[in-house]
Order: sequence, then C-alpha cells, then structure tokens
Amino acid sequence: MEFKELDPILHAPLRLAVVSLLISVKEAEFTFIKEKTNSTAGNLSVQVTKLKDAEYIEVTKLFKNNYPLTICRITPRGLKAFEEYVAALKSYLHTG
Amino acid sequence: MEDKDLSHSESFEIITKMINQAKNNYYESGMGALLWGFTNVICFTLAYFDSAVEGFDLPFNPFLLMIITMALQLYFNRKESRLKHATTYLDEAHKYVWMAFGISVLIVSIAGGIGHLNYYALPVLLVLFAIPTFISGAINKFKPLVIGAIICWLLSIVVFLYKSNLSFLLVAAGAFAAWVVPGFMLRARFNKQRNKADGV
Repeated sequence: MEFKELDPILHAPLRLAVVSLLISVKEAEFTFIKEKTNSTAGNLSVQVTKLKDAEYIEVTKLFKNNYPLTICRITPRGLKAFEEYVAALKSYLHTG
Repeated sequence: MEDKDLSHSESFEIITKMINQAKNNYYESGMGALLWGFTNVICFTLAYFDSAVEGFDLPFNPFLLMIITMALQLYFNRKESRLKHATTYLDEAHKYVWMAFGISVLIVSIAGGIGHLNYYALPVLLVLFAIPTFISGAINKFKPLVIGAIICWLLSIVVFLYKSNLSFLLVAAGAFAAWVVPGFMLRARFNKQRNKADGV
C-alpha cells in the first residue's frame, strides 16, 4: 500500500490546531484562536502567517471600537488540504 | 502549544479537541427572546383591550412599539458582538432563519392590517412564531423553545377555529410561551456560564 505524504504545513501542532478550529467556524478572531489553542500571541502570529502564505487561511485586519481586530477564515484551498491531511492520516492508522 | 513532531494519533487528538472547542462556543444570551417576547405580549395584550374593552381606546397603534424594540435589538446586537469572538455556521443558519421569519411576519402583519384581515392573520402569525422557535430549540437541543413552539402551533389551531377578540390574547400567550419563558431560562444559563468563565 502506498502511503500519502503528510502535508508539512499542516503537520505541526499549532498550525493543525488553527486549521482544525477554523474548519468548524465561519470566521474567528485572533484572540479566540489564541484562547482555544492556548498559545502565545507571538507564536500564533508566526504560524498564522505561514498558513496565510500557503493560502490555507485568509486574514483580514480591521478596527472594532478603535481596537485592531484580526479575523481569520479558512480558504477552499485550506479546506482541501485539511481533508487530504485527514485522509492521509487515516491511511497510516489503518495500516499501523 | 509546543512546536514538536507529531505522531498520527496526536494529530487526530488535536483535530478532535479543536473541533470540540469550536462546538462548545454556542453563544445565546436570551436577550433577543426576552425583548421580542415581552414586546409581543405587550402589543397583543394592548390590541386585545383596544378591540374588546369599551372605553379603552389607544391613541396610537400598539404595534408601533416594535420600532422601539427594533432599535433596542440593534443596540444589544452591537453590544453583544463585542463579547462574541467567532461566528459559527450555526450562527449563520440561525441568522437567516430569523431573518426569513421577520420578513414573513412583516408581510402577514402589514397585509393583514391593510386588508382588515386581523382574524385571519393572527393564527398565521402563531404558526410563523413556532417555525424559527422550533428550529432554534431543536438544533440547540433546548427543550423550552421546542415546547414554546408546540404551544404556538396548538394555539394557532384554536385561533383558526374560533375567531374572536380573545385571539389577540392567545397570540400574546403564544409569544409568552415561545420566547419569554425560554428567554429567562436562556438568560439564567448564560449568566451561569459567564460566572463560571469569570471564576465567580
């Protein structure tokens, strides 16, 4: 049986957590993701940028009540990558 | 969350944990239910007195109170949006269901009023009250809303069959069962959740 390679962009704890969270919601604020993933702002910011550069997520920056607000949402490309990642994981587990 | 190599089972654990985190993010303060529930109870009760009690003539249409409620709703939406940090697909579905309900109620109320068809419009309103209430209750597994919706459907049968001034009071009763009672329960649950989150 041929094993599918796991997407290196998703195969990292925090990036995987961010994408898993975003597939379940339409959009989420940076602070929400930070709280749910229990990560630091600096580390999360780096991982969000990596996901954004891979076009797996879309990041919108705006202002709400004079405070900066970062909103993240998954892209169709990110969704497809996540589905492929889960399928690949399953193939490993079924043969493992 | 550390940046380390993941085993396959750890990957699955992260995915499951995050999906559950998003699922537990249901946000319902009960404010909308209370606001619209009380408004409808007041409007339909006043309409009953206006039509059935001699000497009780309101100098205005009681349903105009809904304009104030609409303004209050916009204010609370704005206030609550500060507490809400993620939008789920369920939130979106709810929004559209209630939007469709609002448009339908507006059409039935205005057309019924213009055509002097109040006694025909009232049971239709009760049927309409029940639809989004039932959907919200069933999706969120919140029984008081489902029960409120069923009460509205039962009352609509009565109002369809017996057209009288009492119909206004029955619509008020429907609004009370569908929104006021569940609204208080949602509010209590919401306050409990907030106190727990604040560590009170």
